[in-house]
Amino acid sequence: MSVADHDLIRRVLAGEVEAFDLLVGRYQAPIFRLTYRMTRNAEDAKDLAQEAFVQAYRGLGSFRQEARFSTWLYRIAMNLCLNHQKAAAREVSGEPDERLRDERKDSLAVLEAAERDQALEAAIAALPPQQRATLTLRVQQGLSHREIAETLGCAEGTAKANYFHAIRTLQRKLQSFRQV
Amino acid sequence: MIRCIEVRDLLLDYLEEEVSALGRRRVEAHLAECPSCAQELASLRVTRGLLESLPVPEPPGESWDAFSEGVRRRIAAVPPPRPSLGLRMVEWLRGMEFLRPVPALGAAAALGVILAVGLARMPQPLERPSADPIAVGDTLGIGMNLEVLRDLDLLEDIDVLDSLPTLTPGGEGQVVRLGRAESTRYT
Repeated sequence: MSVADHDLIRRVLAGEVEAFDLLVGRYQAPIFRLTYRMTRNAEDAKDLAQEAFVQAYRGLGSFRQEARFSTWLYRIAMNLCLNHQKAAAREVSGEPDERLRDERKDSLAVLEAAERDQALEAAIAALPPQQRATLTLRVQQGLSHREIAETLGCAEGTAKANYFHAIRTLQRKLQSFRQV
Repeated sequence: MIRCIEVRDLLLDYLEEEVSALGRRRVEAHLAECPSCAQELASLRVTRGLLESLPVPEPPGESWDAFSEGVRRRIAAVPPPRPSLGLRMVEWLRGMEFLRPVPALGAAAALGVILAVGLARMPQPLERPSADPIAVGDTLGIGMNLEVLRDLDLLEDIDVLDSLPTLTPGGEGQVVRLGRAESTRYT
């Protein structure tokens, strides 16, 4: 049975800094997926994900343990991503990270799938940041609407509406790839 | 029957199984008769499925272990976190759970003191006259003068009691019944 997040946090705060490694190992993949989905750049995503853990470590002493550590960590990562986007003010190129262009391009079906993914990536990237954040937290992280609201600091109804609009927008943009 | 515009608003929740049992039945009843909404549901399902399967790369050029190591390097320069004052207070209070009965004990003690003081300051109730004839005599202070009262129990059976009023100094006493013993005092 895995150790609860709160127990690991207590150990870190008691001076057992190594216990933080377990928290990193537990959340590095979901946090990286989140930052990647928000930035569409693997290098930036890695940097932001690592910075999210550093900020969490720095603020661990004031973390109120009534909340879930994962929600708090997502919020830190999401804020970093939104600040990063504001600072960079990058234009959406529509080109996903090169690493997504895998070696599956040896068949037409795979190529179509890759193109479809690319179109979907571009459509996600074109969403307003709050909708993109909501969509990522919901679909990739599996958070409930309430958890998303806590993470993004908005009302639950707002989170739900953002998700609804994001899905509808993507659905329209994916018309050409739909199989039905 | 529920209208298309209402069903469209519920389809995403329906897909994610977040509608009530009643809502689910109403949506399904509508879908069974409305090909347009059924197609809309299928489209939503495909869109959501594509989103879920969208690939995300590994961190560039390294494994997850290397990612963790990178975090470790970055936090090495950060002072170890310590619980904030607020957090320490909360933890301290949590650790003091065994003191929780204290307020109740304190309240009980305070109530006891109030009751004790209140009782001490209350006017003492008049002592109820005893039914014991001797005590009655003592209480009335007349026993000293009328020693015959000490033998009142013995006198209960004799008629001398009837003549007791004549024994008062003034000779004009009033018989007062005092309880079961039917002792007599004089006013």
